[in-house]
Amino acid sequence: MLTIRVIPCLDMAGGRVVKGIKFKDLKDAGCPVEMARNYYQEGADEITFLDVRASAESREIMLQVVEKVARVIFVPLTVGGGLRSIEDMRRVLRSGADKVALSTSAVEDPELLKKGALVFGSQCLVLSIDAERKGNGWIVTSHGGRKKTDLDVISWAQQGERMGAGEILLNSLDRDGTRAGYDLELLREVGRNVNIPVIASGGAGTLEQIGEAVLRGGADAVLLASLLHYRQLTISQIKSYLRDKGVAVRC
Amino acid sequence: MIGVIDYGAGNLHSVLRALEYLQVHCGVVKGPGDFKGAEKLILPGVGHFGAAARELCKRRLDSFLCQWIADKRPILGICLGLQLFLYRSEEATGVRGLGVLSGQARLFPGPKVPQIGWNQVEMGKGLPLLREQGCSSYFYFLHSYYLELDCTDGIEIGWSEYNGVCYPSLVMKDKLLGVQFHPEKSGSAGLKLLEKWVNLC
Repeated sequence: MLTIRVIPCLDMAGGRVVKGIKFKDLKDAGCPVEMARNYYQEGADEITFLDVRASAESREIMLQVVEKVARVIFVPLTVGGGLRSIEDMRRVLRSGADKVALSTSAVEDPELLKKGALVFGSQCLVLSIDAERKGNGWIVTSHGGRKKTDLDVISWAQQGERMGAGEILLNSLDRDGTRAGYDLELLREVGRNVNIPVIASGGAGTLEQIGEAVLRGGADAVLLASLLHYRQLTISQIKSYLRDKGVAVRC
Repeated sequence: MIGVIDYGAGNLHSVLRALEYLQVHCGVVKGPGDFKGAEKLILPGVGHFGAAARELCKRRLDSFLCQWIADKRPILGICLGLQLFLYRSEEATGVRGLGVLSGQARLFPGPKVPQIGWNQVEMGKGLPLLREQGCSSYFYFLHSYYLELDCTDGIEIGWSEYNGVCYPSLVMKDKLLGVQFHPEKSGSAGLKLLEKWVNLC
């Protein structure tokens, strides 16, 4: 049986792992290579790196980090942040990433998803969506949540799937860093409107909330950052909680 | 030396990294001229069946690989590499694979395709490669098409299940091993399997 994945997310800026609330007030949270290795040893099912600064210089450092990490860690690595072209994607994949996550660049140029899928295959394309509540629905934001678009999250997710995304990384901007729980309604709505896996992100604070993302939100994977970085919870605690709730996890 | 076949469509580098980590002597094979010194081959794979099969043909690797397998020399096919051992795939009708296993690759039914994540492999009792792995016999899968064999005579099979389909995710016939999952991305269980294959075959 396919298991639910627990994925640590390392937000990066200038070669360090950082963490802030709603992408603001960034604080240093540690060395990416060390942290990734620890999470790998603790049973992380995948590891995601997101470059929150996304400058040219930051991207170069990211490549070096990925290169180092890929030599010692043998679970899938996803890298996102500031990837604007096929060439950017190629460099990240060549340095050792297995998947690339596109957010702002896909909003600005949806064709990039299609081109990426043709060159590298859908299996390595993750569409990352930063969703913000508006009225009865959600809108897509770009530039790390700083810029609002007029795209509806559900239709954008569907379009992303049609264009060739193989997975959706769904981040609730309203919940990001708040530990108030995942936005379950958002997860459910996106999940039942696409046929590709959805990764829940933003808002995890307790084991119960993580369980709810899977059992009530229908998430295929959960992405976690500060909760793990500050050792409030460990990967094995999360997995044994999920297992007790009847969710299949890799042991 | 283990030759890892480069046909422009594989996840060649992650396989090489895993072998380097295991301190196994390996090299890249791009064409029939590069096989000297290779005792075992790995056919990695991520991508499209049609494009990959055509590329093998273009690089004149297809007939070479068929001969290698007919000679019962060790080869490991990973993911698309395994599917290329078949005659055909629903992913590219009309394109011929190596045809060393009789069967085809079929598209998974819904709801969610591709299968992405960790799944178990139920081992036949004759598979020493995976015996004793116990709970850790979870491996990382990433694929939309699964194996359907017409004939299983002389083939040892490990089974997995996804979206209600029970399919062969590991096949072993003589010195040919094929795995649908990615051992190079399956943590310590995957590395252990690679290491056993290197030492056993």
